[in-house]
Amino acid sequence: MASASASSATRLCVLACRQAPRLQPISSRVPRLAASPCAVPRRPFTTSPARWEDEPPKKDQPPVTEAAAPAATEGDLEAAAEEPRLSKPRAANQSKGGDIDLQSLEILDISAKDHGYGSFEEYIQGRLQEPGQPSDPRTQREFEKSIADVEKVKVVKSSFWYDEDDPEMDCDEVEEFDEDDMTEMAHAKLEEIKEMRHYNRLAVWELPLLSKLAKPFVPPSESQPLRWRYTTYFGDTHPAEKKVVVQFAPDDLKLTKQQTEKLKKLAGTRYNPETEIVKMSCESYEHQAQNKRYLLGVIDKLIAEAKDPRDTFEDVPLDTRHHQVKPKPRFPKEWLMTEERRKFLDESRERLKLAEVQRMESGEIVDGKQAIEGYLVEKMREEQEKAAQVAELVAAQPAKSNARSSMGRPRRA
Amino acid sequence: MASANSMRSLMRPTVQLSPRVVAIPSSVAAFSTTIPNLEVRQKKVQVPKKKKVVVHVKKPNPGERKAFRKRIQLSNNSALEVQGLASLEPDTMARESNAGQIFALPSDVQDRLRVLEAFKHSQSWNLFRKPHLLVRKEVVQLASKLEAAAQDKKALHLVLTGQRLAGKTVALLQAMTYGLMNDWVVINIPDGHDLTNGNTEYSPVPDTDPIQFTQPVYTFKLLNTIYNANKAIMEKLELQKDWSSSTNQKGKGTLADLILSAKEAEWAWPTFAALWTELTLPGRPPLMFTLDGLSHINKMSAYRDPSFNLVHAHELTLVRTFVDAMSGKTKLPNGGAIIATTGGNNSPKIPSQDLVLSQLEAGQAGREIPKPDPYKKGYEDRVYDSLKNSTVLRMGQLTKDDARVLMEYWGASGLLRARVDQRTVWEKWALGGNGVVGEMERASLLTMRM
Repeated sequence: MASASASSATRLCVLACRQAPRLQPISSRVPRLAASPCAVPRRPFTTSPARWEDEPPKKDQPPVTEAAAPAATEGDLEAAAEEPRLSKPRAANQSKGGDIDLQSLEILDISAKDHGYGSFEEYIQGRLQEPGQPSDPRTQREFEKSIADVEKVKVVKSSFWYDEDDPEMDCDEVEEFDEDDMTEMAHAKLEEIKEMRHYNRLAVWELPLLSKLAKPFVPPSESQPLRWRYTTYFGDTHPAEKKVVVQFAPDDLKLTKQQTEKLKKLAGTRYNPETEIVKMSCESYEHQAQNKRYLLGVIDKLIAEAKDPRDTFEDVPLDTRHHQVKPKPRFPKEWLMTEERRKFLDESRERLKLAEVQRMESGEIVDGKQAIEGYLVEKMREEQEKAAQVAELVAAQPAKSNARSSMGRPRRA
Repeated sequence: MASANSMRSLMRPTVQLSPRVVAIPSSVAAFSTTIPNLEVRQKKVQVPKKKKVVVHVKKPNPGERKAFRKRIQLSNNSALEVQGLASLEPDTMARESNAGQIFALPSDVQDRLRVLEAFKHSQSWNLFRKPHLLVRKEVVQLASKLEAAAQDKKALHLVLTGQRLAGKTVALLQAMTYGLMNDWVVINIPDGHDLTNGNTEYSPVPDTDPIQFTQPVYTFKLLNTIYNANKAIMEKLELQKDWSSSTNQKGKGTLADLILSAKEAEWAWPTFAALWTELTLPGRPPLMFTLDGLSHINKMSAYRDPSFNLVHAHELTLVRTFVDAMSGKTKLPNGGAIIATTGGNNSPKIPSQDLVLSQLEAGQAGREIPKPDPYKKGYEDRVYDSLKNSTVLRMGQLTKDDARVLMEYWGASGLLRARVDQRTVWEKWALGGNGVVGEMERASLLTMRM
């Protein structure tokens, strides 16, 4: 069988050629693993059997003959060529510059630890000490490939970020989209809806429970002349939340008339003469309690000074220039339309109409236009009369003029 | 013999000087290479100048423009004559029965009022044929007060107030009319701000502290006015004191002589002082002193004293005379009236004056008396004191009946081309701010709307 021997020689040659160039330090350590039957693991340190994507997982895997093995291994190799990609340590790609050897050794250490070995060295020792174990050159090659990938960065010249000046730079897109996500806007919209639903949930379930905390309103008594105002920003910190405002009416402080007047004068612009309330605020201190205490101190001092009999302030008039009293016009009650007013208006209008009619009848109405026209007519008439008189005079005295001419001339009659 | 001729011609060559074109020296420039183009006659191009049309007008003399501006025209021949108007009598205005009627002004009173400068050029006298007066209810009150003052020989101190165009100056005129018709001596200062805006001469009075000033030219003019307006009375009254030391009046005479003795402005003030003293002696007719523009005499004038401080109006002697009479410091033993008018558009705000007048009005009406604002500046005691003894008469709005009467007169004069029925009357009354006379005139007489 020359063909057979030839074929086997060919096989050996193929096998020899298929062996990838190995880096020296690793090749001395990693022994060659012979081809094994199908039940050989594809990934380093894995026990799951290799299979095609479409095939269901095989429960019983009979040992494949040597003849079938190379054929199988060829196909497996191609499949394996894909697998290392899955098991490719992704971390290795991200190692940029620095100590590549150290990093790759660290990664190998971590992988070894993951698979139950103490360290990568131990795994090597283990493998070296067990020469009888079937070792798969394919897995070895995959492993070597994955180790090579750790050190060597893939140069993809067609990548967007490829830079000729720096060819070893990592050119992978940071965010590779695997068609498995919504847009950022959709996420934002979803967040909005979630937030609204959260608040609606609170409103329906939690907030009604506040009614348990409701207290009936009790107006302040005589002994509570001060009215305080505090501010909260519901958990946010705000510089205005330390402000405290107090209002009180000087008349409520049970002082004598002269003392209340003095207090109003001392309060100055804090006193509103229209509402008769003194309003003060304080935000000089860091805490509400401090501000409140300060205001209480001021009020005590005011009252003490007001009660001081040494100076009664009676000669000082109260200054209200800081408060402009805006007159608020009210609808006059006399103008309200009531039955009486309606009757009154109707009656007065009737009277006026009657008076008007009477005047018209008696001819007392003066008409300016008529007066002018009358005057002009009068004037015209007078002029005409004058003209007529002149003509008569002219006609009555013909002797003065030349007899011949007067005969011949037509006379104006 | 052609040959002989030709020979002859040869022998006597006739050089005919053909009128060769000689270069005109003017067209050739010296040292010029330009060939003169002599065929073109050089025309002198005349650009016609625009002739300025000089109109020879005569410029008006100094004072003519002012006189034209301030002329008072009381008659208009284009207006119709209103028949049936009664003429004013001395006691017409004081009778309540005459309230709401229009009267014509007698012509002699007219002349005297014109002399007194009682008419203002901003009033509408020039639209009518004859001046007329509407006797309003406020005027009846005023006239009855004047009557009482004359009868009781007590001075009436009156301030006429009211809103703009309400008829204050015309009421003053009516008061003057009453005075003239009832043989009072009437002195009028037509405008307060003439005295204080610094337009007339002033001279200091020696030995006064604070320094006082006289206004000689104004006083001289005023003396002439008093003489011309009250001529008949002045010529009858005899002097009771001797004024030869201070005035030019030597010896006895009448008040007319006293006034006429002041021949120059320098003697004007002493003569006026003498006249004033004479008129305030007992046995004289009632005296009426009126002034229009009270605010102007209650503020700081525009004059300055030798130390360059502003002079208060009360330091001017003429103003001081009026103010003393107004406050009652100067007694009028024969009765009389000191009447001042406030307001007008050009009137400064005097806080003391406003306060005292509002207090007087409130007191008269029985309302709560307003107090001075404790924190307001500008109050002056002397202004307050000068007015605190006076009465206030407010010129209000016309009633609809008065408005009707007035509008009928306008219609009869041919100035109001409308039928004066209830609708028109109410319309013009409303347009005039519910009966403000001046506004009604503006809306009816002074519009071009037909």
